[in-house]
Amino acid sequence: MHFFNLALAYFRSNLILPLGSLGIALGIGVLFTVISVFNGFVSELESNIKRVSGDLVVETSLMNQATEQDFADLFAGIPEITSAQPQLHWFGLIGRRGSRSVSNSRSADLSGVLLVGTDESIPPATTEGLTPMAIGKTLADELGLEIGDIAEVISQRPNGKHAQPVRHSFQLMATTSTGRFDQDIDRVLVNRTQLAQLIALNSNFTNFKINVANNSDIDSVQQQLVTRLQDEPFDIQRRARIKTWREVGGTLLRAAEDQKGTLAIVFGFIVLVAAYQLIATLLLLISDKRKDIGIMGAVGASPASIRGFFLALSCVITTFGVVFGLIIGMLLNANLHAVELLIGGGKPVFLPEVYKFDHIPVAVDWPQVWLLIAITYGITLLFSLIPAIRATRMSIVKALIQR
Amino acid sequence: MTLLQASSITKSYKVGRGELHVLKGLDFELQQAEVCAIMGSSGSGKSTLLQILGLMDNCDSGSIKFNGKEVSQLSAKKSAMMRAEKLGFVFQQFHLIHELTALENVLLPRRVACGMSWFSQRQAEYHAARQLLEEVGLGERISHRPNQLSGGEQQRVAIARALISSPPLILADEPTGNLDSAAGERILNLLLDMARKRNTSVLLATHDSTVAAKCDRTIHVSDGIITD
Repeated sequence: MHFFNLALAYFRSNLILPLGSLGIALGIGVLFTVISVFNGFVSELESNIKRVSGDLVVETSLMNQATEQDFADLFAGIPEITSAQPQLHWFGLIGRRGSRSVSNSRSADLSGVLLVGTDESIPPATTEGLTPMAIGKTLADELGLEIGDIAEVISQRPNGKHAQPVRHSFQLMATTSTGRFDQDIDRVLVNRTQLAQLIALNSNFTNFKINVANNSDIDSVQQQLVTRLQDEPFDIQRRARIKTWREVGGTLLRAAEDQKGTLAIVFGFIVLVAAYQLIATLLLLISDKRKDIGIMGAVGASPASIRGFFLALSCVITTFGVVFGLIIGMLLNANLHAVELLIGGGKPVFLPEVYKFDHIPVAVDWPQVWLLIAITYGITLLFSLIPAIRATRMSIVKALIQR
Repeated sequence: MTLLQASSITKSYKVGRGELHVLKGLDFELQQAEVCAIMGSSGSGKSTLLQILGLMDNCDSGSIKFNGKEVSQLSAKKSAMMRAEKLGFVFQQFHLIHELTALENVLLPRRVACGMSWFSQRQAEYHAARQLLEEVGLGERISHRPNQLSGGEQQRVAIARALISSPPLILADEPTGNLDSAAGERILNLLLDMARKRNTSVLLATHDSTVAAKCDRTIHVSDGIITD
């Protein structure tokens, strides 16, 4: 295509044109990285929520008359459900044995934790005959606990209208790492039966972690559960107690999506400004190269051809911008930690306490990237129409007399 | 056989509040394969006449027939097509595009006129452009840009460009005006030789009588009309 050869020759010879590409490249590069980071954040958040909570969570009540077997029978009757693990959730405070804080249950130095009674890989007793527990590595570091160390857990046992404090020693048998700061700082995994005995509950489950078969419609399974759990003996009337993983992620997922959208708009303005700047660049080129437009007209270029040439030039500028933008974006993605330290003057900008993850997750969503590229081409071509049309309105004779 | 026939051509420009009448009902004919010089002093209207006959500008009134077909009222698109296929231009200032090589400059009329063309057609045009550059003595300099060529060489490129579409008519506006007399003579001889070899008509504006002497016929333009 001749216009592109001509446009490439102009691009090579006029420094102002590669500068136009640079603006587009910066916009694309930053937008690519921002979208990738937020996609990574959302996608890792989703998989983390699914891993911890399953596809669906059914929260029961301690007053519920239904037994674990009743629930198991109900879940077995829904073919999409592949597993339903009972869990017992309780709250407590944890401290390292021997620390001053443990001797004072009102100490602010004790860490509040969620005690998760589970049947998964936590035996009822250690080889030393102690009650085992697994905690997040972040919490272990916080408390200065190592494998084999003993920690004290202070909790409460329901006793009529009052609560009775209970205290129990646990031996650290493993540390876990989900990569999510909030999960790794406040979860204590213990054997479910042991936990039920410790707090002397009649029921040894407070919720079920449910997984469904791949490609199943989670919302439809949720609806089936909502319908069936209203009946005796379950009597779970509130729909809010049967949550999909999206509802568990709730605010956090929505906040991440909203932030992604907001930042995409903010950084999208860079592309918009770069495209707008393209108008100025091309108008400047037209003013500088009036004679060339006159020559093209004299040797037979129609107004449509001249318009085509300027649109081809805009395409060439955009293509260089897009290619370099993608390279910049990929380089940024590959060196995000270094960039983070550079921006923060040696300290991480994304604190795990705030951003949940102890690393910056990245996931490139290529359909989104193609859409971004298509929008960029659309905007730059649209903006180039103004100078392209102006070039066609030029008189050949007047253009040729430009010195 | 008449190639070009212009009747009662008028052209005026607005100058301040008044009007400057450059062409005042000019009549002119050019035969096929004829080489004709238009002589006249500066401001006599010879360049304006070439621009109007070359369909780069419109006349205020009058008629222009090319091969018997009226062309003075063509649309911008059809005028462009006509310039690309039927007319070749050689200018005093050479008017080459500095971003392009000599070869690309020669190919420019084909490229801007044809839009997208088949590979075989492009190859044929490429060979024709190379051959023309060899014919004008620039076979070794096809990849040079205009700023790497002398004035005479640039005008040779312009001649090759004017001939690439094998047009029946070349319009040359003071083609030797920017060259020294020796280079000017060589360029003029080259242009006329190549045109005569191809049976191409040439309409050449000049104020130099030695240039006009090499043409088949000379007409004089004075005060917007042809005087003889």
